[in-house]
Amino acid sequence: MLSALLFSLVFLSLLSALLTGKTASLTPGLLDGAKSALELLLATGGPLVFWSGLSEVFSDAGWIGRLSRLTRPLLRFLLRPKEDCEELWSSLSENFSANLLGIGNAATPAGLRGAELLSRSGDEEGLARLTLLNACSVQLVPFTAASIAASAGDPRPFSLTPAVLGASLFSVLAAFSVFSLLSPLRKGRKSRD
Amino acid sequence: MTDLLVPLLLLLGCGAVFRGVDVYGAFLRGAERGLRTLFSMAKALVPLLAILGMLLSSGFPEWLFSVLSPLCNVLGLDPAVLPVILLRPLSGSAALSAASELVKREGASALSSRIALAVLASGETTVYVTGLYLAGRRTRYAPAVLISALAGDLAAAFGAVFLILHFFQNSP
Repeated sequence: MLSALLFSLVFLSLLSALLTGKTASLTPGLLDGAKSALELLLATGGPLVFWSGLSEVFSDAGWIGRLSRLTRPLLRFLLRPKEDCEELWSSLSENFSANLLGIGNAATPAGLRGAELLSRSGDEEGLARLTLLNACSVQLVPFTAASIAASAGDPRPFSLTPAVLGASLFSVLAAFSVFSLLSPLRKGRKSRD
Repeated sequence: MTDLLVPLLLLLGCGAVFRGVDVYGAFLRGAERGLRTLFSMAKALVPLLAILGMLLSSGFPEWLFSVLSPLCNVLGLDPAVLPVILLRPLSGSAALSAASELVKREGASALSSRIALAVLASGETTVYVTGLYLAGRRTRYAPAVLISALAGDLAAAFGAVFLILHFFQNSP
């Protein structure tokens, strides 16, 4: 899918350049872009590695587990799993908490475990809702965005945090509302093969 | 207030030493994981940013802006933010590239930069996540999930624009 995107972008560039006569800027633009990729990584890599380190500390300290217990009622409301098994809950909570802290690497395995359990117990709607929750990232600390801001000279890069949180909440609200509207329509149909 | 967010988190983390956690060791392990993430990001970012750079110098942005600015003016949105919004559900790396280009161009305190970063942080790579979770699983909810998730991304974008424009224009 990304390959299709790449092709479209390259094709579009050539087409635009031919139409606007800017063919001379194509190659310099390309090389400049390649250069700026490593510049970006150099500028934001430090904070990223730091945050990974800190998240590991939280994880080792068991605070992800702590956070998980707090989030259970919310998860019950959003995901409505049919079964109430402990293993499922621990995966779901770990997935959500890790996402909150921005630890994608811990969130994904836990999320996929939960997905497998839901799938096996035939809880299609639970699976759909879990996928939806993961597709709307709710993150407490927007580290990546903040480090880009910082590298461009923002003295208070984390000032974005409240706006990001608010926007994430809108996202969850919209996504789950739309899903609640759409899912009854789907319930009537048979499972696709 | 957000000044103390990270220092406090750090204090909390290091405080784990009192619970017997090998804080330094954990830091190293996590940092190593982060470095690996960085490396895999580099693999994607170089070609993406290169191609994006080529696209940006091809005259396409100017054309797109002239087409979309009436719509953007109605919404109160800077058209430069559009690439980030449109790419966000498709590819995190592409959206990251677009956002960082914008920030580089406009500076960190520009309204459009702040909006772009907020959109970047509050959205998610919908297509990838949906594919990952639903791969090989039979479910009739797949279209509903995709539509709802995209609605979520759109809401995040609008939310980011709205919140930054009205409440968080400057660092609070």
